[in-house]
Amino acid sequence: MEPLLQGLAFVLQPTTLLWIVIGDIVGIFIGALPGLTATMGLALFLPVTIQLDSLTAISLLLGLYFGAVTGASIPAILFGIPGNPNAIATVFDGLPMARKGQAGVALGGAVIASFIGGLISTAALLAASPALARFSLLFGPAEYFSLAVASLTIIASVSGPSLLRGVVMGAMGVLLATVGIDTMTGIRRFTFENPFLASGIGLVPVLIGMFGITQALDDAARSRDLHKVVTQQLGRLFPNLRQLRGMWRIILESSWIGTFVGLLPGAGASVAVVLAYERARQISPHPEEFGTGRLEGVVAPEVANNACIGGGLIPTFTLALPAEAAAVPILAAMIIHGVTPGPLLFTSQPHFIYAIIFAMIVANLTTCIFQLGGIRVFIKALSVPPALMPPLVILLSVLGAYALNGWMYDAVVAVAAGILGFILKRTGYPLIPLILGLVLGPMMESEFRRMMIITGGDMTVFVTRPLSLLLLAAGTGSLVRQLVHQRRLAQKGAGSA
Amino acid sequence: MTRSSRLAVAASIAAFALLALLLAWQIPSRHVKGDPGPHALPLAVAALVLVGAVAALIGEMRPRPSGEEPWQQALVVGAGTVAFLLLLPVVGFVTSSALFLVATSLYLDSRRSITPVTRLVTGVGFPLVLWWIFSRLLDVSLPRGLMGF
Repeated sequence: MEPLLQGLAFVLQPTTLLWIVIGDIVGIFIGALPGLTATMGLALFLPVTIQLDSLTAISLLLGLYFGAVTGASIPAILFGIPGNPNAIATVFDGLPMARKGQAGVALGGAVIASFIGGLISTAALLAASPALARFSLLFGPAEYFSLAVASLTIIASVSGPSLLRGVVMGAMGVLLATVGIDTMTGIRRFTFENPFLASGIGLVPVLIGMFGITQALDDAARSRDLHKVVTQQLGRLFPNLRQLRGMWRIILESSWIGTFVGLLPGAGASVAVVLAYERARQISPHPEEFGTGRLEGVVAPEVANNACIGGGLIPTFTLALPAEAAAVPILAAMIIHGVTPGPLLFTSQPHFIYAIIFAMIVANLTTCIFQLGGIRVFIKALSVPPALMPPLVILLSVLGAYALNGWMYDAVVAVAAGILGFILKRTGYPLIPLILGLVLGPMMESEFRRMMIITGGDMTVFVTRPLSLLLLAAGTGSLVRQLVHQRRLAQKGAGSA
Repeated sequence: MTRSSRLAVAASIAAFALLALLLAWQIPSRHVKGDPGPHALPLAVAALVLVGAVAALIGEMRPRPSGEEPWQQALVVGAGTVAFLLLLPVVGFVTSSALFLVATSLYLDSRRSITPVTRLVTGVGFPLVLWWIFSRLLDVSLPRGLMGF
């Protein structure tokens, strides 16, 4: 009970609440701006968190995450442009509702739905915590190494159509993580007598570059022009409560779809929202009216995309396996602040986990309040000329990287990572495995070498310890499954040719 | 991207991995009993990247349909970003940022939908606000130019 109260007391501190609210408001703006994703916002905000303690930093990022996911419904409903991929399905009925003069009801319904979805998935995380704490006792260096290998192989195999490219990028990330001084022997690796390289390749500048600058270059290349001006009349903001009560089954099922899909690496919120929308259509008494402006068609995907947040954070905290790209900056924030993700977190720092869960509840609630209260202000975000967005994002990325240590080196790394990321992305190399390799590389190496010292170099320990074997088998299984899938696709392609 | 671009990227990754492999070979292998040493992981992953990149290169040799996506504007904005980075320590944060914002938005806004006032306010005002936030509130020293900011 004590860790639970400690966690609650932490979140209720005025400074924590203030940072959550700041995160929320910034997040809603980011979500409302087409082209800016939650992942990009989280990466850009990582440098701000450096000065904060670990819990406040993660609370801020959670506020931003919830804000960005919920805020994306604003352009989706008003203009049919999803603020980010999480809001794809919100367009289907949100835009027709706005055209019928019910924009306010759709926006209000989306916010309330997001709140419920977020709350249910947070409850799932809370319910899973005790079981995960018991599970954590089985973890030693061998299991941590196998966990890192399994996380990396799973992400490498699900992050793109080509397994080979995913593996190459994951290995490349681990290789980049070895640059700098080896912590066990003090030997310099790939440093070329450069003092900056001796400190390693910074995770945050790479993250900022690959999520911020890469996306900005991509947007610049596509030249996404928005020429619509805010002309929608909002009207009434809240949906009829009786209307919402009548949707309890859709809300509940969308929550579970979101939480479950969120748990699966590589599936993503864009899959969850489409599944939830489809399911809502199946169970609605008026399936034929979907797509013409039904509130259920807005509520179902909005419940699901917020439920994905809690679902996606479960493997992030427990297995260092970010199921969603947006969870990568949160995982990075934990590592930067010296918090080792993994099941041991639940026994070694239970108050940390409870504080995060309460922060999620507060972030969810404040997002709901601020988005509803400030809807007219957030709509103004849509009037930012699109041609200004790529340079603004690049400027903020360079500034964020520079501000980390006051080094030009970090800004150079961010720009290099951004340009490299753009080239790799355009030639079909997924970036997430590379970043995850950079995140997990140090843990993988240190735990492997620690285990080797303990056993005197006996590598069979990784397959004789049951949990380690299970984790390695999960990683291998994911690789084999993807390989079989690719073979089948290739055969089908050859057959149809 | 075209097949030649994909071939070039795969070849570059292979060359990078080969260089890393040669450099990893030279890392001293001082270590305690059982520890595979500081060179083991770099060697293993560089070899894996090399094998993977060569396999990708061979895969790219086979003809397959490729969709051409626009990239020219990204090239110009990327070059602008590098120029901004080079100017930053020379002319200071505010001047280099203002130049970068105004020039890039002028280039991307081919239909001239941004009014000159908006461009000026954003181009000059935004860097000034950022400079004030970082220098005064967050106590981060940003590169200064001749005018002191």
